[in-house]
Amino acid sequence: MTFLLPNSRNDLDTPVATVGKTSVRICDVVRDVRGIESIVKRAIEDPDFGWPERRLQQVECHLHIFPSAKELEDWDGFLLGRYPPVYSPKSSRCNDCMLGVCDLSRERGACGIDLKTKCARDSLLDACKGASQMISHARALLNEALKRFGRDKRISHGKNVRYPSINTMLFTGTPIYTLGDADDALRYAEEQLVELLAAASQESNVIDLESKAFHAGSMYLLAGEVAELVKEACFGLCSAADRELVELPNFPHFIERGIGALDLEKPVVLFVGNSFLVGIAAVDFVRASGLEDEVQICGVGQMGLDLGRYYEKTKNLGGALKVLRVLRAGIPDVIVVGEQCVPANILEEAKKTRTAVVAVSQNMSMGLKDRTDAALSEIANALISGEEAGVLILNPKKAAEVAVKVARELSRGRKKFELPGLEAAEKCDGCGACDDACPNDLEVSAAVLAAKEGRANELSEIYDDCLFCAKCESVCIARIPIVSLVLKAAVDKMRAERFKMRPGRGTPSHLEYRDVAYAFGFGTVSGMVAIIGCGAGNEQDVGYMVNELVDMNFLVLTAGCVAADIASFYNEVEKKHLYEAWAALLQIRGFLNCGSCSAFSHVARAFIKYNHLIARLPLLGNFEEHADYTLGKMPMGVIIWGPASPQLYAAAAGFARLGAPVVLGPHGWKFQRFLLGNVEDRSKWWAYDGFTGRKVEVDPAPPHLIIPVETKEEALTMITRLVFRVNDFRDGRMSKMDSYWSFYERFFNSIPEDFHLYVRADAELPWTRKHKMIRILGEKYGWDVDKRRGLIIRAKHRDGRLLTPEEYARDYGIRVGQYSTFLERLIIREAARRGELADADKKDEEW
Amino acid sequence: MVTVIVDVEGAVRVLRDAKKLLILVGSRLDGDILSTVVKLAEGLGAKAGIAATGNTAAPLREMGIDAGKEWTAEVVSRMLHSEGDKPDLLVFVGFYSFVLSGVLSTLKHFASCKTLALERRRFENADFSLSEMSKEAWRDALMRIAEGVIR
Repeated sequence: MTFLLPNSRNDLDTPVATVGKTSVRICDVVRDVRGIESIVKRAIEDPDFGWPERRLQQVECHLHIFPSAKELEDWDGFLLGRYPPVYSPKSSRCNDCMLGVCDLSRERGACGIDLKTKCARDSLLDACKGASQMISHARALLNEALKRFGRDKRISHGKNVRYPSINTMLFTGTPIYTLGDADDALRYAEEQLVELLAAASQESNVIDLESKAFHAGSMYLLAGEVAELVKEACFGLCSAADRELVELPNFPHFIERGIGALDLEKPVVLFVGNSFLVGIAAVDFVRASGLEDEVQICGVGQMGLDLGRYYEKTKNLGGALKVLRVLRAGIPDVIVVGEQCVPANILEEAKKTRTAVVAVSQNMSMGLKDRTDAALSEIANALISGEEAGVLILNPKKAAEVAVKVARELSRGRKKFELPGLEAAEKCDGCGACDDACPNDLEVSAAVLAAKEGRANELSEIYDDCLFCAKCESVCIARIPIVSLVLKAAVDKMRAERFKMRPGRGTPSHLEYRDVAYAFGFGTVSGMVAIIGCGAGNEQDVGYMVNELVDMNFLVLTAGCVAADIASFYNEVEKKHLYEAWAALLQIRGFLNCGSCSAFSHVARAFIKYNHLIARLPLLGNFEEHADYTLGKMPMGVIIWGPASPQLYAAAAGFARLGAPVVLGPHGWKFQRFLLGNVEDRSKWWAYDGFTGRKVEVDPAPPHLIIPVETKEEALTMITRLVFRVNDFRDGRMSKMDSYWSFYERFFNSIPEDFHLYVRADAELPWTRKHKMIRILGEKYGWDVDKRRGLIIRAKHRDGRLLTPEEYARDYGIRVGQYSTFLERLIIREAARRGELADADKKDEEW
Repeated sequence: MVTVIVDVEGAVRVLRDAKKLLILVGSRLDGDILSTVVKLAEGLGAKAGIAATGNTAAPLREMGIDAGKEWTAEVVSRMLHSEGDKPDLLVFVGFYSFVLSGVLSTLKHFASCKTLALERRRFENADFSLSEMSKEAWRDALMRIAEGVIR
């Protein structure tokens, strides 16, 4: 990078950005400056989000503004080199082109592709599918907002948000302050998506393909942020951004979750999929019409959360995945069906219980007639009479009014819970086809056979773990309505489901960050973990994990359908359900729900924000540096629980690229691509000493980037392992070691076999376990220790040398408090980047 | 490569023929079947190791078996990347089918070891697999396999 005197005559015609007395030619800091000169200049000079002068002088400033995936290959290449993709191919056959079907198990296909490349292309496609769903969601909201308010409409981020639109800023170099800014940002994501899809059928290199899958993940988070901003700023979803700290522990309001919260004598309108605009319109209509005490507005999945943020009387009926549970029981009188997370047979299912369907998305129109232009009364009458089972209405206000009107009519005299008796099980011959079909490996046939003998308990137990996909029914030769039987057996359980939950509150506020920043930065908080996902088979699993992590002093966030599942977990110590047991704060002993799946972006911004707060990293167009810092320093991780959807695939890619490792629950094995480190290969575990440029062997932290596990106990233990960082402070390393060891010992009745790899000094060993650890280091791993005094005399390097603590600190890991990086250009001094200071002796002389 | 469906005798032959094998114990195993698997490993002697995945390390230790806690994904990764002395046969028992399907697919396509699925259902991506059977029949089959390797 060239530093110029501010008034250098030779460069008067070259645009420069100036911070203090330091200037830099803007053409030197981006690959192609054409058309973005002012953005680049601002990205450097902005007093809040730009570059501190000292930082500008120290590292090689290189911004990525509106980057393609290829422009971020330095970072992606590093990640994928350290955590190479491991694939579980869906099939070894490729049928993607017109040359015919090729078996790639032994040889390349007709186009020259091999199996790994085919898997990588599938990976990119999956990530693109997920990204497209979020981009489409954001676009629908944004277009409506643009029509209503125009491009110049200011977006308020709230008085307690200092860093707006963080996910976006990292890629576009511009904060979102108006709807026009949001439109520009989303256009960028849309363009990238088109490019990525084009590459998915052409690109031939695995690493390039996975880099692009990462990019789709980043676009997913960016689009999620746009969607959230529009929902909050234009459509009134509650946000913590304007609240005072004293309000936050009880913010937002509680809503009720569960069928037990409903008055089944009153009309029920259920919102499914992304039917956000119609949902908001329905609430407005109900309020304006004075029907709040009569018409019950309910949502599953995203709508159960988003509507809850808008309307306190919203009833959340659980994750989107389990909508069939509600439908089969005949709970809703009308369902409003948007796009995403909707079963393809929802119309057929609705017909079974004479539930009227109002489709509101042209992406999920189900063959229904488009009645957008028909008169409201005409549409309503057709639905009420049963002349039409469903209609498509692409006008949110009209769709909302039709839904409410029809529900009021249909609910009269309509019976709920009309389910077949257990005698329907009599046809079961125990063939076991349902067992084989069950995606959750439940022992369905045994339960049905038990029902045949008059025992309903087994079916009732199935209810707790069932995904309600009805695959068992579709394969049953005897045509037994197994799902309905399960519901019948569990009617009492369903009726008893009534929990309080907080529906989501958007971003963590600046006040919370400031409050916990030092504890987080220096490690008295073990880490920050987000538990997200599409909802689990057993709802108790996610609640259990939240509870354990809060208990272990992690900062815990959630978003997505699992947020509703969490509500049902009962904390035996506090004698409360989880949302009532813990304060809604991003603090120790707190736990907060950000919102629906678009709120995954709030999780990402929570991660990034800490980097800026603690290290003052510039935000605009500076993704790589943030990801580098997160992976090297910040103890953040994500647990994804429940079935593997494209949206979660994209989200996982986005978080992983950001340097936040991801643990996938057992269903995550269906993701078919994992990013696993090889701890044994010492050549993979290095970092640059940020001052000298010396490449140092480091602890394998975090050991994996995306890893699937089998149980919730494994997930908890793995996440405590994945929050280790090479740049941990002493207290941080100590608390992480304690968490990791605690879970490991408790769940597996043994000690972590790899703990010695993370021991840098005896002062970092948890006090309560120190002597035991020292003894094991001596006896099992050959370290020279003083057991009595609990001291490490000589540590055993991975190459077999016994080293004094000083030698060990020099040759293994990053010295505590020392700046480190994985990217050469972020080494602090130019001489060091050239390798001139890399020699250890020179380093000691220098420092 | 086509999956060979094996009966009890066939499974015994595969286990006996292996030079070095690792038995991965999945998270679904309960007490008595876990004992059978331990018996199987003991019957195979020094050439067999047990990898306790899921939460099975604790019950195995309670049974006096010092099986190391393993993460299935890490075992798979080692089979792909490790330079060391690796097993030539991986045996799976007690896994969720959606977990094992993925694991077997990776190993089938990218690793050199053979795989044997001692589960209640047929796994297409295994080199050798038992076929569909009831829980009771499976329990009995495992017992007979454990006894078979000793004889």
